[in-house]
Amino acid sequence: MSTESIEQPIKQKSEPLFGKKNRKLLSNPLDADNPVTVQILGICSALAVTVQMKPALFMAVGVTIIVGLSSFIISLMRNLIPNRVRIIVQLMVAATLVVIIDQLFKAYAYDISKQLSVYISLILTNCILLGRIEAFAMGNKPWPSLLDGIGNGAGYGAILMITAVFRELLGSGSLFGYKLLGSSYIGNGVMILPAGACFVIGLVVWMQRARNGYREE
Amino acid sequence: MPKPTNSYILIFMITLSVLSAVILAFVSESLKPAQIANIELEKKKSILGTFVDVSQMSKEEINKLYATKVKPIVVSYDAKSLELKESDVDVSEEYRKELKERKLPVYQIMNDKGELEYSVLPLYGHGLYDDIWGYVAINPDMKTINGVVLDNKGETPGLGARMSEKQIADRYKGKSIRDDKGQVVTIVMQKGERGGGEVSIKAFENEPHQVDGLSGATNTAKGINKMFEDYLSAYTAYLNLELKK
Repeated sequence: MSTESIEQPIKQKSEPLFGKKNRKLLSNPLDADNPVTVQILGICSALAVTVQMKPALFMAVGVTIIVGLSSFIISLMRNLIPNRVRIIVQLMVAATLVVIIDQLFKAYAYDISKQLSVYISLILTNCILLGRIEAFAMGNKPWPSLLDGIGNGAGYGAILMITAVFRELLGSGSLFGYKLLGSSYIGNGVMILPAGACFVIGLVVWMQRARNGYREE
Repeated sequence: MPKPTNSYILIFMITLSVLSAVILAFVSESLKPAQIANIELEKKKSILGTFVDVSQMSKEEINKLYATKVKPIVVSYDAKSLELKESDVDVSEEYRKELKERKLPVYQIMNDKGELEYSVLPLYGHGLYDDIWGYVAINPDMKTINGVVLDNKGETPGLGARMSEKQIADRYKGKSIRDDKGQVVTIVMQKGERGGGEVSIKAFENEPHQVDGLSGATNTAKGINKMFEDYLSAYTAYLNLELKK
């Protein structure tokens, strides 16, 4: 977790619900502050669940809900949490939400849940989740925390989807399970393996950095 | 906040634990029926999948077809019919017992006249990382395989996990589980892969007891072979008994 340092609390006097600062909380993680491509967090699951679009979409939605809600809840009780046990409390809240999402998937999206298998439970160990709670939600009000969580979840989800488009199209010749490239197309085996995700994510990082003019410090 | 006392921390943690436990218990209990229904539907799909194409069927169609066609029975190793409900037998549990002590479910598929159309036998085993399982439909000649459905829990995606694909299952179609003398033999997945799809099926056209392998998944293939060997020998008495009928 490279963003361990607590970020400056945002001063809110009469900041409107979707004021400029709050909108930034949502939009920044999508590009300039993307958790995957800029902070290089959550790579493990991004490699594992991006073979096809559909599981990637469910994973993206699941992570967005979990990061958003746990940030919100932690922020609500941030003044009650004893500092010495704060990590345990954060884990407990996040774990509860992860289990609920896992159970919901098992009940209403069984096929997807089978494909994602252990990676839903592993959302708990996703650096983005604890990173956002510890670095943002512990020091900010509930509404900005919720937006920050959703923004980061969506930022992660966006990269997941971009990666999945390339991997499914090149690896299986389909998108969302619909054959696009015809039966004569022979899938690229590398794209099905996690290595394929490494290449795609690497290229995405490169393109984004070239566009935003990123320099290694 | 001022430095919290130990008792505050204790009470805080206990309250939080109890609260999340209650929430989780509630969620788990209220979603259980839907989850169990999913698992049962999955099983029905697999059983039906050995002789019809279920990929386009709705939930209702599958339940209806299963109810009209499938007659589950449970037999012992020496083919004695056991007075047990199929739903009480868990193949994954029986798998851990000695071959001769296993309770063996058979899903008999009946046609409209009440004649035996296929016998669908469950398979269970262990692949490279985790459990693998499947179903195999045997024709009434108790010799040729009509179709199989294979599935896995944790094989390597793109390598071993390919065993669950339809094109792998298709390789087993029409294979024979009896040798020239009529003894039950197993189907052996070979090492290496000849090309996939139709090429793989063609390559073993004249080999009634062999199918093409999974490239890069030798240990998964070993598990599949062990699973077939295990269960075909467990069901030998049943297969012989039905043949005499």
